[in-house]
Amino acid sequence: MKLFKYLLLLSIPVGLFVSCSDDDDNSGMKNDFIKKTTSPAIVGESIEFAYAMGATNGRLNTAEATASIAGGAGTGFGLFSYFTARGNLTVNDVRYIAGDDVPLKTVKEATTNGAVSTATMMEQVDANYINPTVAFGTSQTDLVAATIRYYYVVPEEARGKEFSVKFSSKSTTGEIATYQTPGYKVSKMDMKRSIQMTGDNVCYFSIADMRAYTKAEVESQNISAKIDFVYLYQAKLGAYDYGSAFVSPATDPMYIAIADIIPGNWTKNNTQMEKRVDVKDAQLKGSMPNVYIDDIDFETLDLSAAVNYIIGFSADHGAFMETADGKYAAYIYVNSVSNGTMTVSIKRYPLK
Amino acid sequence: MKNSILFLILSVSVAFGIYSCSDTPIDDDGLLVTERAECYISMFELLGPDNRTVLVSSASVDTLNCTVTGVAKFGTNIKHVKPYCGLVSDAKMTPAMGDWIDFSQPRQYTVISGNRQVKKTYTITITVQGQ
Repeated sequence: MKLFKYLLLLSIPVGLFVSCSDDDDNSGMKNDFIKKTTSPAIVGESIEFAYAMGATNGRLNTAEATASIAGGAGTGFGLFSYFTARGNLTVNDVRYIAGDDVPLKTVKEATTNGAVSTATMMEQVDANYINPTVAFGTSQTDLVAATIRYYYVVPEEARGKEFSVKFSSKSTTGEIATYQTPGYKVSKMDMKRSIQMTGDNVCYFSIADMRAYTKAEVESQNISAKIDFVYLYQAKLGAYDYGSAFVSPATDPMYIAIADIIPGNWTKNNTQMEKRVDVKDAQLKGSMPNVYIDDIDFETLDLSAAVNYIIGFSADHGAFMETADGKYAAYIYVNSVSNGTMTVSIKRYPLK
Repeated sequence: MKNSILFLILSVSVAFGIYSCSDTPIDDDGLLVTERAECYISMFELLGPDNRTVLVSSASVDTLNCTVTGVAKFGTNIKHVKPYCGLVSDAKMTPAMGDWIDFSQPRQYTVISGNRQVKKTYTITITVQGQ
């Protein structure tokens, strides 16, 4: 009886191990994946996966990815795999040096229908891809293993939810391998990059619209209630350094360098804001380092001690803001700035 | 016999450890109490939410009158700044700096010497350009 209990206890972890395994050890197909994109999943952005598969019997036939929420336009497998150049190499008239990723077509056809994306693999590829000791361009070989790219474009339906992908691959002998990814949280944020502003014209910014307006546009459309901050430039204000600044329409006039920039009959939104210098979001900046503002930064944002203006912006600076109606929190990142012109990018999070 | 010797060695080791610790007393904050009697602020800095100084130039520290004065840049949100300072070796300060604080009024901080016998209270005054 005691022996039976031990056997029962032992069978539980063994059963768990077996159920977690994605590859059938007896199968002639193996697969694995990595999620290459490290940035937050924002609606409209592409999330890149690398899906690897190998056949010990026959060749690769097809790969399939089934998303838990159908991706947006552009979702699907890419046609190319990549290998690392070991030395100088010219492929399709493009010259690569050692260490470069060299694209090689391994997918004959890629289609996406709803949540299911399918890749039909090439029969043969350059032998160098399978065996790097073979000189590139000298011979072809059966495609028995490949790592291909799957791009998932985050759809509006996934906002604030989780998505996952079930990968599977099939060999020409009919053997199948599958891999279920974990769930990935989709951000509630919106993002818009490279918004041009000028200090004396296109300087009225609406966080709700994520765009800048001219004074004529604000007045003709009667949207002063949507203006959260105004971009100003003036080298000095009296004896003091001023430079590039954001002021809210309700800011004390002593901090507004251009007296008539905010007409008296406009709605005076009191936008709270706080400057940051070291928050160089890679999605807004468009380059390294891989540092990102995510939902949690807005969920924990406390601007209760902030003011409604910031003076002295330079490139790479930014500001956390909260709209006067409490509807949005935002981070405005300054991509570039010179005397009177500024390019900004924005991440916006809905608070209500 | 063997156990007795082992017990004796362990007892001596523990006693030696306790004795050696008593040479370096620590205070209520877990900081070492030393023999130093010096008691002063050597530098003062004030940071904004962007983790950069808000001061126009270095703050002036008067160790005779126990005052620190500084001027913050135009537009500084002086109600939300984070102070920090340098102290003479082994000294400590109360209240501790490093938290967000309203500096629109002069603030007082007390420096306590390394031997914890000397205390000096500094008054720190920051004015903002244009105010």
